[in-house]
Amino acid sequence: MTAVSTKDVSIYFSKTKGTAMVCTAPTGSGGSEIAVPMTTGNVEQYDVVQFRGTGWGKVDNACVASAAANDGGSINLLGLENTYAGTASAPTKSVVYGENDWIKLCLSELTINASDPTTVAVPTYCSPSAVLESAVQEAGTFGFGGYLNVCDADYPELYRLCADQEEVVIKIDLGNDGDCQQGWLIAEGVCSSSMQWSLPIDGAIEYSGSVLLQNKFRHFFPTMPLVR
Amino acid sequence: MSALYVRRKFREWLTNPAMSVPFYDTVNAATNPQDDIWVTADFNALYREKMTYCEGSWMEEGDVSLIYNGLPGVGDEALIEAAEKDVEVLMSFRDSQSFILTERSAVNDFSSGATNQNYQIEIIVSYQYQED
Repeated sequence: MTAVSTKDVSIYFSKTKGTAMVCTAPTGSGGSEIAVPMTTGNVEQYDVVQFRGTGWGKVDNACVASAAANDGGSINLLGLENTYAGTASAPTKSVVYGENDWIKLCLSELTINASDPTTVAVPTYCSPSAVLESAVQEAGTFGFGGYLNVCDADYPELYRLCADQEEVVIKIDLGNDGDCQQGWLIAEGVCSSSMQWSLPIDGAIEYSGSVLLQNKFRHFFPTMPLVR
Repeated sequence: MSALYVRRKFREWLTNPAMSVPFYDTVNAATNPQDDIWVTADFNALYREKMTYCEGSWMEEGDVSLIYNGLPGVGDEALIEAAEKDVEVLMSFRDSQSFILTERSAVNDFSSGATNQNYQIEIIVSYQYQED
C-alpha cells in the first residue's frame, strides 16, 4: 500500500446552478448502476449531476456520471447500485455541472465535520425518548480558510456565495496516484453568511467561512465497487 | 540563501537614489569601499512553506542583515544616524503584494565595539516573499 499525497488535491465550489436537463424516473436492476433516462441534456464522463424529487435518497443528491450521455440516452450514476424496492419518480430537478460551472478555491485549510441528522425531542409518557427528524436537516459542516486577495478569481466568488447564502455543490478532486485516479469527494450544502477575516499585525490577511452540509460527503472514484 | 527575486529586489532598493548610504555588494566580490559610511547585505531564508492547496503558492520568510560600515573616525552616532535614516527609507518601499518588508530590528553592534578600527553595526530587515 502506498499513501496518496494531498499535493494534487483541488477544491471546487459550484458557482452556477448548473445546466438543466429533462430526465425521467431512474431505472435499472440489481447488480448494475442506477440509470436515469435523459430526454434532453448533455453529460460528459465524470460530470457531477444533481437530482431532486425521485424519492430515492441516494439519487436525490449530487452524484457522478460514469459515462457520457446526451439526448435520449441514460445517465449512469457511478458506483450506485440499483436496489430500490419502491417506485422512483421522475426527478423534479435535474442539472449537470460542467467544466465551467466550478470555481477552483486556493484554500489554506479545510475541515470536514460530520454530524448525525438533527432531531427534535418529542417525549411522551409512553415513549420518553421519542424523537422526530428536524425539518432543518444538516449533515455537518465544511469549514474553509484562505488568504484574501480580491484580484484572485476565487475570493470574489466565495464572498458572493456566502453573502447570498447560496446552495453549492462541493467537489474535492483527490488527484492521481500515477494512473490511478483517486476520484472525488462530493457533498451539497448552503454557504454560511458568517464569513470571518483575520488581520494579523504582521502577516497576510486571511478569511474563513463554512458551509452547512445538507448531506454527507460521498467518495466517487472510477474503479469504485457498486454500493447499495 | 534567499530567493533570487528577493536578492535582486533588495539590491535594486539599496541602490535607489532615495537611499543615502552607498551600497556595495560583497557577495563573492572583492570590494574595498573608501566611503566614510557604506552598507552591504547578507541574505538569509528562514523557512519556506506551502500556503494553499493550489500549485505554486509558496511563501518564503527570511531576513536580510544590513551591515553598515564606518571608517575610522566616523563615530557610532554618525553611523547609527545614517543607518536608521537609510532603513526608514528602505522600509517605505513597496513592491507588489508578493514581496513585502515586514519589520526591522533594533541596531545591533556588529564589530564588537571598539575592538575594530572599522566600526560596524547591523540592522536586520525581515521579509515575506510569495512565489507565483
